[in-house]
Amino acid sequence: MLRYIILRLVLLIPVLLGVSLIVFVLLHLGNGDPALDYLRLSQIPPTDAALAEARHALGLDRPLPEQYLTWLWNAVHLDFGISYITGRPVLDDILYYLPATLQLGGLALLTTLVMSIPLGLAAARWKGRWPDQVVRFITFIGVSMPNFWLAFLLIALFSLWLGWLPPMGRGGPQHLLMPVLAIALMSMSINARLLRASLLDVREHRHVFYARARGLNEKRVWRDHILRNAWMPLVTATGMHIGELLGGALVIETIFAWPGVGRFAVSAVLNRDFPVMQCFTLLLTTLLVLCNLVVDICYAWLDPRTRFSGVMA
Amino acid sequence: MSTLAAVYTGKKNGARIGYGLVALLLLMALFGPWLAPYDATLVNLDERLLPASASHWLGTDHLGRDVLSRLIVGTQLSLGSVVLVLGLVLVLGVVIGGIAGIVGGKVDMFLMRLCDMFLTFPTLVLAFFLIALLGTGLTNVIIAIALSHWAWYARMVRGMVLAQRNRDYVLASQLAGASRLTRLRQHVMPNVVGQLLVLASMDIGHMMLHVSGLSFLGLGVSPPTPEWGVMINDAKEFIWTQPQLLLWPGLMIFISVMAFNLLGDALRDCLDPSVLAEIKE
Repeated sequence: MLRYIILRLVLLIPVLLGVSLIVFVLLHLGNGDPALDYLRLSQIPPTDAALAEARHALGLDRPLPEQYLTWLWNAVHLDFGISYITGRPVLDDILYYLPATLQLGGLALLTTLVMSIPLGLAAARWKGRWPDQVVRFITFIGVSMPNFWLAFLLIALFSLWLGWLPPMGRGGPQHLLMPVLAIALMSMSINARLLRASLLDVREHRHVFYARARGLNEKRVWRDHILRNAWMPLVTATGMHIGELLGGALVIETIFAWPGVGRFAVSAVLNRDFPVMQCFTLLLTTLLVLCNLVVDICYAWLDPRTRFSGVMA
Repeated sequence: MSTLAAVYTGKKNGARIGYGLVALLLLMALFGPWLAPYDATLVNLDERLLPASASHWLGTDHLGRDVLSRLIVGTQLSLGSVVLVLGLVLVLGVVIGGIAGIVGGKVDMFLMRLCDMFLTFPTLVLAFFLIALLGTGLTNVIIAIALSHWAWYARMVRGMVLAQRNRDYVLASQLAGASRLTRLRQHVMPNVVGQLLVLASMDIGHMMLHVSGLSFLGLGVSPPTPEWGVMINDAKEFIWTQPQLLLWPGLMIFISVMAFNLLGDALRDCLDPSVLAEIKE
């Protein structure tokens, strides 16, 4: 197991190298001139002299491979350059904003799991009856609702009319309620639907029939024979939802003025702040690869059958 | 609420509502400029932020433009961009997945690793990166979202082609001397495309949410043009005084996504279950 984890972590290195190279090349071949963007964001008039000087200062006048290697050398030493907008080291800025995003994303993930599991279970347990109908209605709304619109509806309801919750900023638990709900609803709905379908599928399997025939009570049949086998799609989906939740955070953070890395990244993209975009890409890639690793480990842990084949191979 | 729930749980009615809403949206997209009571981009600073009235059914926005007209005219761009995304995704998926499935060998392996690379990233985050690289604007948003969705389709097409390739009627045409291209064009692809369209219909709602999400962030259409995502972005400063400005465009997106989801569910039920099982392999 440990060897497998180390192997996967070592494999992260070529992935990061590949991603950084692709991003670097595309950013520099793409339309737009980083030097021009730099001058614009520093509010220096873009005269020819200023442009040439900025190019030299940013190292843009050197050949592309050399630029990449320089960047890579610095990146290995955790120096990702200076943000064009804030004028501070990129990594410092991102690390300053990251905890807020992790808090939001982590809570959204927790909410997704805590809410989807009982909903999916109830729907499958009482299929066709009212709990099923209610769950199917909620989840259908959930998968059709744009998260940013939901965020505004929540603000209108809880801040504007009822005055119960603060509409923006970061602080106590009351600040978290609306953004977390807005981010989590979609994943929660997908997970609940998936769990329901999976439970209904496993319920028909032979081993469940056999467990009942052995005279096990209904509670044990559900817990040990149906649920244990129905988890798997949920684990896979949850792994994918981590990414979707981060995507949701990009949108939702701007609405609630949440001081997170998503809002920072959106402004970096809108202003073409190259060093920030590059660092952000690598950070996110690392985060996603690590999440996938955790999901695979969960898989092996939950389902002994995949331990020595399939996922591990 | 309860009627909506009843409609959804009764599959047949859900499908009917889905078809009806999609037809209505298509009409609005095609004839929007003629249906709208006012010019959607006409600025009238004397009539700023009016409440709903007989002359302006949904009121006016911060530049005095008629909200109802902007909603109707906006349908074209909001729906049109999703259609373009879908078209691009299908073309990329069919071409790349088709090549992988037919040529096989090293090409197949290379293309599938490429797909894996794209599938590592969540779609919205990948689209966001691509916009960072390509620059903002509606065209780039469409390209970025298409590029972040194609890999899944390529994999499905490859799976379907592989499944079709060894069917008896394809083998029969091979015995009859049909070339590889003819077999592909006449026997494999017609079967793949039908299934693919059904699967794609289940994904339209999701694509629409992504397009509108990015255009809400201001990465897509530039301001004077009416589009639902941008309208919400425009209206967000007025949430304290004019919350209804946020309500309508969001409701349009919500209804459209819901309509496409109903349609997708209905079409999926028509699809042969064995096909679904095959693709999952």
